[in-house]
Amino acid sequence: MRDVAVVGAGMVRFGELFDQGLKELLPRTLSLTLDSVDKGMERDDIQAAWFGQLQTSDGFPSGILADSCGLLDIPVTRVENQCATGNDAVRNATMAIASGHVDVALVVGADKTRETSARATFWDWMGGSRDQAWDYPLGLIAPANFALHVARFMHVYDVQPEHLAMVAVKNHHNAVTNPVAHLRTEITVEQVLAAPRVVGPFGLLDCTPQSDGAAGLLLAAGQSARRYTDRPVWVRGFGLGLDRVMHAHKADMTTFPASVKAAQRAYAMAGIGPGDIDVAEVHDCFTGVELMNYEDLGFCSRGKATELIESGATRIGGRLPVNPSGGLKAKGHPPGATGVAQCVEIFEQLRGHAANQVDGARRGLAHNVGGPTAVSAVTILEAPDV
Amino acid sequence: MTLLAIGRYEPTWQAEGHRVPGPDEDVVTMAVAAGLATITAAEGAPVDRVVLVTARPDVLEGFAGGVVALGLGLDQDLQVERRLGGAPATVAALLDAGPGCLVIGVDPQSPAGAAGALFGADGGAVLHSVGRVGRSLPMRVHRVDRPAFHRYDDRRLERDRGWLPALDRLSVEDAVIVGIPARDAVRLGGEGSGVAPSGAAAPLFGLSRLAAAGRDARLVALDAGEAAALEVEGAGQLRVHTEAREALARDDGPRLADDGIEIPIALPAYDRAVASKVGMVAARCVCGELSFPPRLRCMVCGSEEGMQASALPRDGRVYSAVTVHVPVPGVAGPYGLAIVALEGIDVRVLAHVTDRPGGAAAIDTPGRLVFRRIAVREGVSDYGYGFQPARENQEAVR
Repeated sequence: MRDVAVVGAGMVRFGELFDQGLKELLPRTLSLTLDSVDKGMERDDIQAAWFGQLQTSDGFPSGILADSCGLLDIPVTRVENQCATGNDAVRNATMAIASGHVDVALVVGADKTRETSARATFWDWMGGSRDQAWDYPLGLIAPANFALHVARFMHVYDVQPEHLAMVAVKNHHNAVTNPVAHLRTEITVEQVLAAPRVVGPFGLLDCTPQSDGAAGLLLAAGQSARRYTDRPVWVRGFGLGLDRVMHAHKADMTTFPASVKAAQRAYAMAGIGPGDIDVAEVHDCFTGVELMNYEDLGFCSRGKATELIESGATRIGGRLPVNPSGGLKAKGHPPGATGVAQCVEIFEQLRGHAANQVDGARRGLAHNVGGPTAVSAVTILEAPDV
Repeated sequence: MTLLAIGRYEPTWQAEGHRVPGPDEDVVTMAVAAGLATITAAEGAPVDRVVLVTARPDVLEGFAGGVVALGLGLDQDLQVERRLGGAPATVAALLDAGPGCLVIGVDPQSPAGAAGALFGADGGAVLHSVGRVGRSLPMRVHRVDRPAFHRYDDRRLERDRGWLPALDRLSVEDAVIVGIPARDAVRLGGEGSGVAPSGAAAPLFGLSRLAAAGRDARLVALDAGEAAALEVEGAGQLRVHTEAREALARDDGPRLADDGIEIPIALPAYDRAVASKVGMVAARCVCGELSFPPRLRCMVCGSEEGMQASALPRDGRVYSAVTVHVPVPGVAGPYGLAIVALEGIDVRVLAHVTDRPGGAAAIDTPGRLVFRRIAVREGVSDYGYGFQPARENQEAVR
């Protein structure tokens, strides 16, 4: 297995990008990503591409990437693995380089969540992730999908609505100074608690916005990485985990076993543990999910997530800053792009030039969990000088 | 041939003093609720035929008789005959019935209710035919191609030319008159039906009152097209079971904000699931593990052979639940979603919370799963189970 490095990373601002389709977002993202390569990279250097996209909002995904970006002479594979799509695309490209099959690969993630009417959007987006006969007709919409876990989690561990609100306040605060974030406003715990209710413990300010966006990474084999940069960021571990797809079959809903499996695989591959992580971008599609992630990723022991958020440890300046970009909650969540954009953030953190820089960050973790809370992907990156 | 038992069902919701169906109820779910109450009253006496009478069918074509049979816990191939008509049609069905026949009358309109009557070979009460009068005074017309009723507004005409000539031929003093508003029945010298249903379910509600009073009497059923009468002998021998909960104001219940949406359906997926979903039947592996929904491969031992159908208990407790406040087109809201742990076995079920204002129920709330219409998808009624919290647990959670 060869070492794999990230040599370039770029993304467009997340938001309601009604004026741009995939055919605009993808070439812009690729140009930004190529421009980020310290010593430059020719488009022709790219030997294969993996495209993470959850919803086919504008037709055949791989073809649109190849066609709109001028990559007609390389293989392009679309990756779809629910909300774990982005980090799974990174994993697939990494394996192709590690195996020696290609030397330079492109990873792009993109989604347009606002290409369907507000009336139709719930049913359109549930169609790809719910059992057609059993769960789909019940209206198990995305926030309910997660809220059923968080309600149980709150019941078992005596988690209060204020703890959920603290996550929203922290991540919104981080997004204010991140120019590519979707929601760049400070909010207070009181505002989160007073916001209109959406589902169960989640109010409007506990939920990710529906974002459009795209993000890209350029990966190179260890031997060739130095052609592109003197400061490569290393892919040290990755993991993908699955779980039962129907909620009725999940034995303990206070945890996401998919996340536990993905994280264990990634830590083992990197030869490190959660205590070695300096900065993390985790899947906070709904506030309470970030708290559950703290426990599943090993940032604290079971039942201690409330202490971790209360202590301020996950703020920038804390022991383990989580979601310095603003996270899904405030940076935004175009599902196919989300995991790739997390890696863009970690890449910048480990090279010391992130918008909200975590001092001395040497190892970073990116994490998604999604679909019917049945899939998770984790990527561990390491700074150039470790 | 004797009438063994009567089962009554009244929806939980109430508007303007009358029971009305909930957003997840229709003729089929009310028929199943009444049929199950009847089977309970009859202490499990066998059913080999079902006759469902209603003047207000939900669908003209596409009636799923097999769903009614499965909902009643009976064989899907059992004959379920649907008859169109009001109270006189139910009387006719009762007089036609043989042993093993379950006659169900359903009135989905206000005052809503449904009731069933199960016949056996002996025991119970005997019904005697008195006669039938054909009439033709269409005071109310509901055309299939128009949403509204046409009413001919002349109450004396209806009384003098409609009801009285029929009653002259069929009625006697102290008869129970059903099928018309209670106030009118009393004025005509009979006993009214109070706030009970006045259509196809009315004769059965009337019989249940006679059973409670232990009184043998004549029962006359009227509607615009006909009148029919029967006499009950041995009413005190009838067993009666009623499913009715303390009423909740329908205005406080879930509302369909936007029913213009077509929720997609995959009919092959529906077809594969329907027997298990409507019958609440799990697959039991040779190792003893229960799978619900049934699956090919056992979750525990990995066996792919030897699965047996296994009916599930209906009682359970909330493992987790949330209220969906945000409007979801096509779903009456706010609605509760609950994961219910069934009593005594390691099976959980995801279901809507039903018969409760404000959505969900708190974790650990006890209750039971009841047969309901989960959704209407591309015109197809999709049936399954809703979680009905026990009646002392009405407090809502967010």
